[in-house]
Amino acid sequence: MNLLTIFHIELKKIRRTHIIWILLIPLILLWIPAILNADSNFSNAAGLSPEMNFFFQTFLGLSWFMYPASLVVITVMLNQLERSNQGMQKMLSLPVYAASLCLGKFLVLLLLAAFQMFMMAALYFPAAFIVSHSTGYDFVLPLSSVLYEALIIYISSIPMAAFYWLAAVCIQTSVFSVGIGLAAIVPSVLLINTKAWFAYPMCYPFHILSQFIGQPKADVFNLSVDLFPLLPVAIAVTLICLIVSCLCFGRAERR
Amino acid sequence: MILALEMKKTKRTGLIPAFLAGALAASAFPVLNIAFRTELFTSQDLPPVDILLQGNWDMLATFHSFLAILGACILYHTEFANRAIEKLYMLPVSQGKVFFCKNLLLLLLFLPVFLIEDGFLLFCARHWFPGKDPGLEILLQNTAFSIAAILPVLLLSTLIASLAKNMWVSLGIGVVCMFMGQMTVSYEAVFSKVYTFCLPYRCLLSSSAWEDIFPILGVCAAESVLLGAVKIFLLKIRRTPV
Amino acid sequence: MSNIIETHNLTKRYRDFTAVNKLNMHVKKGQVYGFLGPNGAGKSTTMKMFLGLTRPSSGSFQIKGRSYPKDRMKILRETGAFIESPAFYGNLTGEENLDIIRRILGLPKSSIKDALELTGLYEFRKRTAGKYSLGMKQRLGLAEALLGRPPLLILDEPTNGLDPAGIHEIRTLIRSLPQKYNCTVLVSSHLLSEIELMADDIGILNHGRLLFEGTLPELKEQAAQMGYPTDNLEDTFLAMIQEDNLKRGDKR
Repeated sequence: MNLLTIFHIELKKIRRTHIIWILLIPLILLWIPAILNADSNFSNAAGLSPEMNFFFQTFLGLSWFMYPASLVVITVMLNQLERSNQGMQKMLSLPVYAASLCLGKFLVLLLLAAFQMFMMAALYFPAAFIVSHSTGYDFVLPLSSVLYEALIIYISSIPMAAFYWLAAVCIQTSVFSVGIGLAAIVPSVLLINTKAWFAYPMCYPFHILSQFIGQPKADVFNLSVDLFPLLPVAIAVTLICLIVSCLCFGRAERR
Repeated sequence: MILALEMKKTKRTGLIPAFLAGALAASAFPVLNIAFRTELFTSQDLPPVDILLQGNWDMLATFHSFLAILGACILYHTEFANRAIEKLYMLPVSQGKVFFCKNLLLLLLFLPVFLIEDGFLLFCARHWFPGKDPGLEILLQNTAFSIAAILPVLLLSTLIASLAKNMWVSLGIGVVCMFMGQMTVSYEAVFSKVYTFCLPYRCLLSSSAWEDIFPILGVCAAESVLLGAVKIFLLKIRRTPV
Repeated sequence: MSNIIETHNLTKRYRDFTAVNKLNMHVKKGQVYGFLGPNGAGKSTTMKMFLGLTRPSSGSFQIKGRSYPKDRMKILRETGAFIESPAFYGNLTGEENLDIIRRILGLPKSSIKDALELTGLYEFRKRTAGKYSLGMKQRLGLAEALLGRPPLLILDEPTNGLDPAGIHEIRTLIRSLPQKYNCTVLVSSHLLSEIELMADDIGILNHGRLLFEGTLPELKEQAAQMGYPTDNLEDTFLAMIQEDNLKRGDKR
């Protein structure tokens, strides 16, 4: 049984869960005030050009709170689906490894997160067109740089997703895993400006985004983030979280 | 009686540990914040309590909203998980009463949360601002104000949680609503003055005038009544639990 | 005739009580084996051990000569199971639920229709399982077990929650399965009258211990020897359980 088949099956399980709407609505709610308050972009404290400010303020709003919270909500959904009608018990009595089920679910988590990030980037363009039209100033950034930045933020969020998945799998009471997940977002505000930011996965997307802001506009593709020690730490965190969650997966149902 | 039953239902759901942990995590924030950035805080020429509240209240309010949503999700998840709520509908008990008792329970749980935070804020004031008035009176006034401001948030969260059978839906909507509050709280628009999830971000400082506070309290009271009425109305028109 | 399931002193202990105690049971190939016992006798625990849903504390078992945990995957591939309450995804339709299992087992698409028709769910296949009635959920659980017509079926109280007509239908189905496609069925119940109508062999379990194993005539013979009432089998069963409970009480 390869992982792709499992992934396919896990995707099928999320039908009729309305999760797409829960992921999509905050994005729309995010862009509406941004459009209404477009004028404030001309006088921003950071000294950014209006179009850059428009883009980054909304992306910052997403990546500091809503995006991690969405990940937590998705993990709750993935778990509840299995537990509410003993679906999990059926799965474990079928010839399939618990670890591959666990990884399949993690891939669904990543896919849904990717959907949210992609929609965020996709909604940027209509929003920027509307703002450009209403203010008479060209707010639209090039497609390639918008997609590139969304992609980088997304990739930097994978260790965080792995951490949330670990919490959701290992903590049986979903309320606690939610509590820990949501509470884990907050310290990132404190750690983001310290030298140890790379040790805390919840900081990554937010930190990388603030690095983008510091960059000159023409140079978006040359992001200057030190890959050492970020990369080894991030990979280690991801792997450890995934391995532990694979080991824990289905434990409670197999006492 | 129903309040006592509601208390009993929360056994082993993790509600009380969650609130305790939430209170401690929230309280740790101002301590860590001032420990990391002592200079930024101590250099300001304001009463210590104002510095501390201004510097940390946004984050504390975020924690409070989290707790409100989480608490509401726990309380209604126990009802939905094994279809206990269907049994509840078959018993001679008013659903409205159950709803308001759940809110009262959460409100009662928030009191120790606020007091624990006050304790930690007092500690910060004593430790980093020695010799100055720690402002206990203002803190207690702020606590009373916060309880009023959290009430509509609780009502809205429980209302959402009572309408969705699946916890991820109620949690998702709750988080989105909270996010809206966070996004718009700094705006000058009318919306951010009256939106339920913006209210916990307001706080009472030593410089606050009663003229500023009263309208906010009025908004809180009006929203609480409105949300309660919405729940009662929904109970009237909806015959099925889900 | 060879045994498809054999257990050797199979035991499951939880912290403070023993659910299954030194169980030695033998399920013959091509038979319907009725597993009988009051609630909490350890029937479900035994079946869960066969499926690897819980680990034996001591002892061992073999299914088709394969042992747990070494050949767990092979065992599961050839076993259809229905344990305790029906397991399903409430947001998916009956058909989609079966499709998930079909993919994992690598079966052809036609097997879904086959299982739905066997259990009489075909007309409700497009309805979400969350909206099924209790009986339909039970049938869905059975369909999940029958999917792909596995050589061994483990069914835990499959007629729970069905109406009299449904009970009759499912009993007839279970009775006919060994002839229809040459499989072995291990079916549990707490009603002897029900087992009597379905099973070739009977195992009676009480407080985790096997009180009797054999065919129906053998049960009658043994009961007569030991002075239990034999005109009504339900009484025989109750008397056996009661006697055993008394003995256990003496030990304490």
